[in-house]
Amino acid sequence: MKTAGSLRHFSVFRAGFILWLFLLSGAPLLRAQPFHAGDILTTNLALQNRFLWTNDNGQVFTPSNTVIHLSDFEGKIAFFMFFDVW
Amino acid sequence: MSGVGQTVPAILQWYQRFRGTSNGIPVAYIAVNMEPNTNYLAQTDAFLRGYGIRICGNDYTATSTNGIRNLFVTPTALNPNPRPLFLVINCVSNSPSHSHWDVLVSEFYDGGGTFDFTARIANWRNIIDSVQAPPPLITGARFPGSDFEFTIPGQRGRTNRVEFTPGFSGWTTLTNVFGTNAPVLIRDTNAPADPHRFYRVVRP
Repeated sequence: MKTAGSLRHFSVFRAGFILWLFLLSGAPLLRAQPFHAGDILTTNLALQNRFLWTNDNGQVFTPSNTVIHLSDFEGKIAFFMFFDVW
Repeated sequence: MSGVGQTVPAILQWYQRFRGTSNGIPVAYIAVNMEPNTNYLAQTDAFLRGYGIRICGNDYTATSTNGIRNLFVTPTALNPNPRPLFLVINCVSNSPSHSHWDVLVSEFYDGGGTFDFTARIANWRNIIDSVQAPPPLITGARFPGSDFEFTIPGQRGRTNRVEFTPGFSGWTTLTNVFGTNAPVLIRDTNAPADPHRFYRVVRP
């Protein structure tokens, strides 16, 4: 007959084993369905602006207090390059 | 060389030089910084300015990081911080070939600081250049003196045929414009010859 302690120990072991399998499989950690090439984007991307710049319509984007939206590039093809310096 | 170092000459400067794609569509290059650590602030700014990049966004806020990146690539245990990410989106609302906000390219790597993206960039440019421009619009119509003039959008490497008709019984070629990606001024010096003239631009 199993005691409550051994049952708890078994559940913790089983949960750890399932988590290990999950990580081993390379399973997604954050989001199940990202957008892929060929999909239609359904959200107006928003990034915190970093530099002072002016778009073709004369709208001035100042650092820190403005947001760059995908819609700011209407009529163009937008090439985004996500990077870090190191 | 980094992804930025390779795409600045091959994407940013390439499309700046031609003022857009082969179909005349402007291309915006947006660098997206994923590094929130303020210790890298000056280094990142110097890096971007060294490449002449003027549009840059940060993919982090005071409370979150990589929210936009994660819309396109899911971190995994094997690649917990996917980067760089190359993303191309069609923002032309009335293209006859592609839908508005169509994700044209979404490719990510695991690091990639020394990766040679030459072949990938060639593929991306083919995809970018495959987006068809909307039908050309005649704008800026006016009568300087007895002439009639208007503006049409040029297309790099393409011919636009400008035609007119006085009564829709047939179209006559006014001029052929083989151009660059820039507005082209069309002037009809013989406009008063007919009581009415209608104009159109044909892209053969």
